[in-house]
Amino acid sequence: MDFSLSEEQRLLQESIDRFIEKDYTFTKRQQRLATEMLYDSAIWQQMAEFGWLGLPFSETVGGIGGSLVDAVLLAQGLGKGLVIEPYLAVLLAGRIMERLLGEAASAWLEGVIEGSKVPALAYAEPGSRFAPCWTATSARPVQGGYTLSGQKLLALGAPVAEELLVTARLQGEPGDVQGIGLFAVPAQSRGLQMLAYRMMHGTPGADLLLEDVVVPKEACLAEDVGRALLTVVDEATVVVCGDALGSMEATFWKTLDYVKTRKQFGVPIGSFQVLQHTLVDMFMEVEQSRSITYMAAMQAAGEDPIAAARAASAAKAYVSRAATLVGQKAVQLHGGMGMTEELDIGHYFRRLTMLSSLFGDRDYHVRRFGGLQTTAMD
Amino acid sequence: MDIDFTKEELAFRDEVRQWLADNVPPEIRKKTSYTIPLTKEEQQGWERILGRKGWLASHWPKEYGGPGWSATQRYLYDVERAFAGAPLPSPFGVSMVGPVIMAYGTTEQKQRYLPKIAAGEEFWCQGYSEPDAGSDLASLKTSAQREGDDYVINGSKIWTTQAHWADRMFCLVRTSQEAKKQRGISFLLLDMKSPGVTIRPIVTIDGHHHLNQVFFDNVRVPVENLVGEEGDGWTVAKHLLQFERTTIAGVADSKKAINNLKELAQEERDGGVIMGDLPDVRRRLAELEIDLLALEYSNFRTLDAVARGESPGPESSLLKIKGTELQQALSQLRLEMGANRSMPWLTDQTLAPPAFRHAATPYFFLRAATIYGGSNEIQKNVIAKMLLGLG
Ligand SMILES: Cc1cc2nc3c(=O)[nH]c(=O)nc-3n(C[C@H](O)[C@H](O)[C@H](O)COP(=O)(O)OP(=O)(O)OC[C@H]3O[C@@H](n4cnc5c(N)ncnc54)[C@H](O)[C@@H]3O)c2cc1C
Repeated sequence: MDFSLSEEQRLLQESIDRFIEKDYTFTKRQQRLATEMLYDSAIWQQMAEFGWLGLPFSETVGGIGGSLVDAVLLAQGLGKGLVIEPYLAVLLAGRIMERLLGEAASAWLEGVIEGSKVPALAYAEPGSRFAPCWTATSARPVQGGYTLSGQKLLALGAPVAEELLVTARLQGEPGDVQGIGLFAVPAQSRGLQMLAYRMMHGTPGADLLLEDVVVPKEACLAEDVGRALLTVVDEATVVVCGDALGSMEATFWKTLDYVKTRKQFGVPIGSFQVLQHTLVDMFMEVEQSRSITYMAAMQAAGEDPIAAARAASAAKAYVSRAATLVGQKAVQLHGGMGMTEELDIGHYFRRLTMLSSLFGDRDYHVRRFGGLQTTAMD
Repeated sequence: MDIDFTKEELAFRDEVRQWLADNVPPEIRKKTSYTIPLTKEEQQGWERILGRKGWLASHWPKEYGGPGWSATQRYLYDVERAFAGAPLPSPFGVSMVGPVIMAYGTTEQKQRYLPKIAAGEEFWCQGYSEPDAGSDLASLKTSAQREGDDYVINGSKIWTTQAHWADRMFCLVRTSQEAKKQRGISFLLLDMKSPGVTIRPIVTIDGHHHLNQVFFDNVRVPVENLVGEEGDGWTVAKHLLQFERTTIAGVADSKKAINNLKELAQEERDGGVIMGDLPDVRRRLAELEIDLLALEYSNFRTLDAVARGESPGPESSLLKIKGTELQQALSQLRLEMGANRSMPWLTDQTLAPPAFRHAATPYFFLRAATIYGGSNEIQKNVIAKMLLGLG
């Protein structure tokens, strides 16, 4: 057993903290959010130069070869800094490409790792809140290619991506792990309507409406991607726990600071025992979340896919509830101040609300964890 | 004990239902059902329709322009109102300053202000909280210095809901530095267009503008705008706070919210299953409905006590705490049912049905429900002290 961080991991944490302090202050972030601009190429470039965009990919495909623990540490730092860049899109799209194509993915990944293109994976659909393989979008073979039709929700990074990776069903029914293909679809395709927005924590995302979008044969990158999708979403789920952990830590420390300085009735409000206990509850949730997230990040490195999936669901089930509690209590303890757009606490709360739901909320993961004890994956 | 409604009461309910069906504008109904914030014009437009009917000040006696309904009638009306998709009237006039003026106002004040409130002609706002006086309201600093026939106001109020809509403000000001904290406070009415009043908008975490900070720079208010005696402001304010807390339970609107959620759960599917058939969703809906039943009957008991002439005491703190917790839980369930479809921020450009598209707004705004109107921590302190004799 060893929970200590390596020298490289400590350096990673320091570089993120320095980046946030210097280039990603809350004020700068708010100024950027106030503009219509969804994407800041200078910031994205900086993230590429730090090696963060290549962190989760193996060296054989041109990445840094980081572990899931490294990816969690990165996410933790970015969560602490309220970073809105779609780094999760890199993880989802890049990892599924690496998993499906192996070394052949290096050419595609090059631009992603360098920061010259933003990737996006569109898999979630209206028919299911969270099951990744609930794919109703259809891929019908036609002369020289396919036509794709269906709806996708909350595709992270999609509005700033030139090309989207879209899951679509070649065979079977929604819910089947088998029969799902992965397609490269240019964002400008005819028949593709992109409803672009910011998600509640600021990251660009989009809903997609595909109406007989015609793609060539080569656009089908792989034919049976269900397993890979489940694994990659599990990895991303653990990384989201890391992001939530970082956001919770920041939220907790800021709230602790606040109750020591805010005075009512002539005393700091932190002297009221009921508020002390609330802070203790928050503190315990942060520590428990840290433990279970590290557990999941280490389990995922093992050979057993069911153990990895269970670990991801366990972590997310725990962290989803913790994130909700920490966010809600932080606002409560800040009183009116916590309700304002001007203070960062509300932005942490929105991020925690988003992360609590992303890739599955507490109910979903509790149910999935329970189901995975006896039956196969998903 | 008897909970059945009489034939007359049921006839009354039918009449109310019919009138609301005919008179709530469709756009208002739609927005209210999806909890989309109304514009001032929409809110005031609706309040004037109600005012013309004589139902805006639904809990006022006839002599002041209310319908003179019994507690039961008011309850029936409120449920019908919520189910018709009509918003609650802005509380500052009809629920707050109105009853205060009835209890403590001079004849001139009654004549001047009450008819306009009951008609929906004037909007009010509540100027209590200050940057350094929130839970500890009695430490407020905004000062009112007597100069001839005027008070001259200096200072600032914060978190003032709808100050940017309001024609008038009722506020607590410090008229004496010498007296004990509470004794130096007075209750004043002021015109928001007075020279020296400025308003800074505060955007809340639901992304909307409800709140403001209001600054007073030598604002002159005639002495006749004092309600009660100079130095009696605290007593006057306490009277008001208790009434605020009986309406804050929000039973009618929570009933409607549960109803909406149940319908939504029947319409929407998750993984091929009707959401309402999912064990988690079904259980959570049932639990919330049970909580609502308990709250509804606690509310009945308080209303009954009020009807028998007892003023709502610290028991109303229970209604506030449980009512706001329920509102929050309902908004959270809606957000979680929406999941991916409720995460896009402040946009109509999504594939989500409106009930999910607009689920984040109430979820974030209602976090304030356990903060405003005396935070839930403060309410528990009240119960501990006044009901349980602790501390
Ligand atoms: C959406 C919204 C609308 C509002 N509208 C109005 C309005 O129209 N007019 C108006 O005058 N005000 C309004 N308010 C202000 C509201 O009444 C105050 O926010 C509230 O009284 C709390 O004060 P505060 O924000 O200064 O928090 P604080 O008093 O600083 O409290 C911070 C935290 O400490 C806790 N706390 C404080 N004292 C104690 C104690 N003794 N024991 C235990 N816990 C304690 C509180 O519960 C809270 O969790 C509004 C507020 C909001 C959020």
